[in-house]
Amino acid sequence: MCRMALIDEKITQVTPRAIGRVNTLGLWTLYSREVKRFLNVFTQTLMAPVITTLLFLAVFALALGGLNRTVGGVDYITFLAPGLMMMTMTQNSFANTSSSILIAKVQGNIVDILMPPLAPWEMALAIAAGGITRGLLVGLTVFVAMMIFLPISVAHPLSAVWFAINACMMLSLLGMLGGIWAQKYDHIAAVTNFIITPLSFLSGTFYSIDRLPQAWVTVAHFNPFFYMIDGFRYGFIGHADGNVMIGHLLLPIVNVVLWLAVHRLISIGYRLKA
Amino acid sequence: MEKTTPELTPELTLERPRIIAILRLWTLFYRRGVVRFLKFWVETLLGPMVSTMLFMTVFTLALDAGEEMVAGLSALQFIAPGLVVFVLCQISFQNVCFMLIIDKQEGVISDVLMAPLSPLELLLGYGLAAVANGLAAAVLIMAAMTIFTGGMLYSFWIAAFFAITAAFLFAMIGVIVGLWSDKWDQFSLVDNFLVLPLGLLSGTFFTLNSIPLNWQWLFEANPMFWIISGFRYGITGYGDSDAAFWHGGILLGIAAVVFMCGWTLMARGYKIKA
Repeated sequence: MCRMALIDEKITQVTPRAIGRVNTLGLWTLYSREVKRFLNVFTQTLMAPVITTLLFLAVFALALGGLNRTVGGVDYITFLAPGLMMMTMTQNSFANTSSSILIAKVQGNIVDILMPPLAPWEMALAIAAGGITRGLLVGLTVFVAMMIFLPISVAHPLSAVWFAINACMMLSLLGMLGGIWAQKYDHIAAVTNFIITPLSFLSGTFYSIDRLPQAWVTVAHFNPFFYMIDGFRYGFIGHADGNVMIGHLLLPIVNVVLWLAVHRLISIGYRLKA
Repeated sequence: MEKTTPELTPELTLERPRIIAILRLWTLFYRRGVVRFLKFWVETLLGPMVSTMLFMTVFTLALDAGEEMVAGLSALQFIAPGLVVFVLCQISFQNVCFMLIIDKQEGVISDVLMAPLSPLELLLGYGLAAVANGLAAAVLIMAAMTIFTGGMLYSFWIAAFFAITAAFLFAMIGVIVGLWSDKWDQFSLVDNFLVLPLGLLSGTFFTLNSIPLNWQWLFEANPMFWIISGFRYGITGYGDSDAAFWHGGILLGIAAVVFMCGWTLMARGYKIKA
């Protein structure tokens, strides 16, 4: 009798760890894994984008800025700097989430993320936050590096931060969709080469959208990439080509839609679970 | 008594060692190298073409495209040859690195080493496949670029000389980097911090006149600058024939030196033989 009671007591002691509504420990663990993953190779994930962006700035400034050109009322280089910053941030956010998921799938260690008691939304949040962190970290580094060479002023800091976070989130979520959909490295390379890079190149990073033929200007006003670059630039130089109010609101709306899509795909385990 | 088996002798004699056996070289070059890049044509041919065309589109929109940049050439006509030959160098370099690193990581390199291939055949087999990839992409890009520039050809032989020498030089650099790289990190280090800066800061996009005088030597000492101005001379006739002659000669010399280095490393089995 006495012995049974003792065993009972022992059994009650080894219950599994109780998880509340939110698995904060799991969320934090997956997030720090995502961050450590890119910090581990920081020469490729932070240094390389920063150097490339500064080179682009130098080249375009030398090639296009020579004739004291002004765009939207500012020097060409002042116009270009925020656009390039945004382009680098978004490309890195996309690369982080897409490669994280795809590599895990190809190497088979995606089960290590699917097995732990993480809800689909927790998994989505942790991975997206990793991508946002990389995008913002790259953006900040580029910003600091540019400050050395250029007198950068920030007209509307809150707008700049708002657009930076929303744009990184948008591309992180797109990266997750891409990573979930892709089955080989070729697939994601194709998405990057033929969709993401063209969109970020052609959406007003390098030129004012007014220079486009009229039909394309109309198209641009339906392009979230345009609002993201235009709005971020508005944060710096205080001038926007498009309607800034629409931009402030459009990006979060796009993000909500993308969140729902990512959540749905992870819930049903599309190309993640057998 | 001496045993003689005359009827067996011819079969027992090994093939006389030659420096290069065309068939063996062809197998490594064509079956392994060329077929591989043709199989991945989306990344090896279409990708570079799309990104080059993006650059041209951006420049068309950001510049007054018709504006004369240097005597007789519009800005686009000035930029196009430089962009083509830079992409050519980059592809040759990347292709051979990819082949070598993937072969090393997958352990396939031991199959290649087991085959009766001399170090020179190995070097040329890998290197020439990369040259072929670079040249194929360059021809496609040139053809596509006629949309922007119209047909231009000043001297086929000068253009071909610079294109082939540049592709060969960068393929040989790629062999050395590919042998040296244990992981992708080392390759991307060279790609991001050497090849890309050399290419961007080389006068692809601007003439030396837009550089402050005391910085011009930095550009004139850049081999990529010689390649680009030589190739541009061949295509458009813009430039200095004496300079092109000397630059071509020096490039050939550098290519020969790098080739010898690559040959030595192959012969020693640097990082590929135990």
